[in-house]
Amino acid sequence: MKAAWFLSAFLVIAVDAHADHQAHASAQSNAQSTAEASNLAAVPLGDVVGAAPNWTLPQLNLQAAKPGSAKSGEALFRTMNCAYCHGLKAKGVMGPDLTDGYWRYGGTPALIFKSIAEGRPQGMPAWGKMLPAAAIWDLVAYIESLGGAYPTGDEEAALEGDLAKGDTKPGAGLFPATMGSY
Amino acid sequence: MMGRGYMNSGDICTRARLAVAIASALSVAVALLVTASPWRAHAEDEPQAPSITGARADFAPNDPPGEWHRPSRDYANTRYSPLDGINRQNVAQLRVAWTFSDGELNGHEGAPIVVNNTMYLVSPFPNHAYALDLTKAGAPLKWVYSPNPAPLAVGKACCDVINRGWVYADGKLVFNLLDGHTVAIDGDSGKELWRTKVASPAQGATTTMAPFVVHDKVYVGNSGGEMGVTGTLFALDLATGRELWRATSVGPDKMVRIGPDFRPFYPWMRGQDLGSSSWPPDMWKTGGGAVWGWISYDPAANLIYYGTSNPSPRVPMQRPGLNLWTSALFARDADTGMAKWAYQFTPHDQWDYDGINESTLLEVPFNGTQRKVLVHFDRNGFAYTIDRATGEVLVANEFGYQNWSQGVDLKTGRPSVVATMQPKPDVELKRVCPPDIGDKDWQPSAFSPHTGLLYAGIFNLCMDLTDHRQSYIPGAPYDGMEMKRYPASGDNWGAFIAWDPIRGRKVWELKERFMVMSGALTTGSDLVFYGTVDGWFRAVDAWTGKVLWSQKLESGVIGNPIAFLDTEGREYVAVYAGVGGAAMVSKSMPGFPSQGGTLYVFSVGGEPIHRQWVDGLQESAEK
Repeated sequence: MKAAWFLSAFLVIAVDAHADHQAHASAQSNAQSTAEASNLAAVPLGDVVGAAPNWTLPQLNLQAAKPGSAKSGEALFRTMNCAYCHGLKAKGVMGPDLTDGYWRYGGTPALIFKSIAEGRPQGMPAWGKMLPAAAIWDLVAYIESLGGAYPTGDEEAALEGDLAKGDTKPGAGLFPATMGSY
Repeated sequence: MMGRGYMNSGDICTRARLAVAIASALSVAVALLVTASPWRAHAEDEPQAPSITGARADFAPNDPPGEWHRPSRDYANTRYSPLDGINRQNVAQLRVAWTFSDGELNGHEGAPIVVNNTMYLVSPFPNHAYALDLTKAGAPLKWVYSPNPAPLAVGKACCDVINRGWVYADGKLVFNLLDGHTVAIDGDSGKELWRTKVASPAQGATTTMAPFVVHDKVYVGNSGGEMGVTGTLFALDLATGRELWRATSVGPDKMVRIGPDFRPFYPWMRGQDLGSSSWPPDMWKTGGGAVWGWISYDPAANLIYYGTSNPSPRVPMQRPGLNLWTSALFARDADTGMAKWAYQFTPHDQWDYDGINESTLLEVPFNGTQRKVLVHFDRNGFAYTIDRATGEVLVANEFGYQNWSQGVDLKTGRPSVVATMQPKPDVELKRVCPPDIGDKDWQPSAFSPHTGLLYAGIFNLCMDLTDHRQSYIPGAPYDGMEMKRYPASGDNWGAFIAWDPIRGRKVWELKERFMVMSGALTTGSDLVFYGTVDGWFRAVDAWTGKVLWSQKLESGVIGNPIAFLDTEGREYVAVYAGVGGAAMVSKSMPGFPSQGGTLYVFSVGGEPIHRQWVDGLQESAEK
């Protein structure tokens, strides 16, 4: 019962605002998707021990060239309720700020994709079963457009904190604002 | 900067001044007579002298005066300590006796528990429990218990990973873990006795409230009104943790535990299965009504009282109907859980006005008769005095600024709703007051049996509100409110008030620039303690509101202060500092403190436990 309502709600959203995703996603061949998935699986979450880090792995947004991707991602960010965890401006509420370049689980487009698709242990749900890959890349594009992802070509420096800038603001630093009530 | 506004209340003020004079004269006499005793408790079997308002409380289960077994100290939720070793004469000399860091940051919303010369503390997630030995200098740690709750819960808790309190009963310390489990540990050894699952974080539910224990039962509820949970109260067996029964806040009568004995006072709440029929089809299943606040207990009637959260989603356009039994209050049989009556404070809640705030059980003279009542400061801005046997609303007056309603009709029990204050999706509605967190949130009030007044920390806030339609996705927020919050007037975000529950009006008010989101403590010496979000901990005169002592702590104070005695009869006041929770809505204010997690313990002159032992150390060092 719940599942049916949940699925239909999703379909309404998808058809309503994101018909282009469906078309785009279905255009991809299965073989392509499989290759993409195995490449993504090879992207390590941590720093690499025993070898030089291989930044030639597919760290970039595979849909970088898609027009309107970030805009579609922004709409999804609201309709899939991401906004009520990460804030309507993605500045962090229950979940972390996605605009500040500080990434617990890595900030390359591929690692952001993996965080969305696989979920993360402190409450981030895994969206990989619910959203097609094309929609997840749109979300990644939206986050990139907010300046949240590591800059292309500087991934290693970002990982080591070389690009970090300090913030000065009143309040309690990294601690996120809360929505204010239960 | 501390604005100060006294609200006049005619005869009360005159009578209060008279009472102060009498009380001062009495305290001198008492000091002369009882010089041998460092403190004087009002004996429990002594008939209570009538308070100035005539309100009185039953302090059952009458725990030893120097101890503190449950968050609000008694079943009636008074937070009143009969101790008077710290009083108006010496309170200005309060100094730190010792401190204790629990190693965790995030919001500290609980009260220390003191039993058998042991102090019990529980940290925010990951919910470590600590036992401190109050028989030794410095109150050293006896043991630490780490429950290892699931990290999954961290991202499901809407408003910080807080814990609102723990309770000691029958040799056990009982508390909730953030991840939906209630645990009991042995009070002596710290060993886990049982762990019971009551909520699923993967479905968006967490557990943040303080369990409430009556005799052999533990009552706990779930949090997650922003996540589309089915709000539920559980009764567990104190001995084993086994679930005895559960009662939902939404759904058909069978689930809500409504039977033939259910008699709401007002006709609009009578009917079959209103918990499901007052919703669009099936929407009650994700309709909220979480149970995350305080419970109180009337031993004579054997009833428990508690409130329910906002409906989910927070976008009212998506759920036409009354949305029973959200933003409401239940009276239930403590043994069977069957509902006796209910009252919905905010029908079809459109602004997130949870009804979970505390209900304090009092007996008051009202229109010539004695009435057993409960007093409840609701988030919606009205303070209700309700006949607790029937659910009839006797008083419903504003205690803070609000503009969503023209008032509560005492004939029908319904608030009128200002049409222009009803949000519509994607349209910004300016200046709705109070905002989602209310004119007062969960921070509990305290009652003084001498003044007959209640004391509460409140907010002075409004919001600009934009609703966005939501779809239900399990484990993700089911919310939809976009808000900007700001002071309703002036620049004070908060205040501390004294409230007459019979006349329904403020007797005095202290304006505070920051929110007051700590609980209050009243004492036998007519002091009232509270803390502010910017980290001030204060003692004020219960009669006049005069600030007698203030101390700035390491972080904001959103915990609940208590008073207790050591083995030498020395009185202490203790409170946690550690800002977080809903107080974070004000984090961009200049002066907002950083996080903390320290318990502060104060005594007159900062005298510690075993002063002679500590002095001895000093002397031997000097030699």
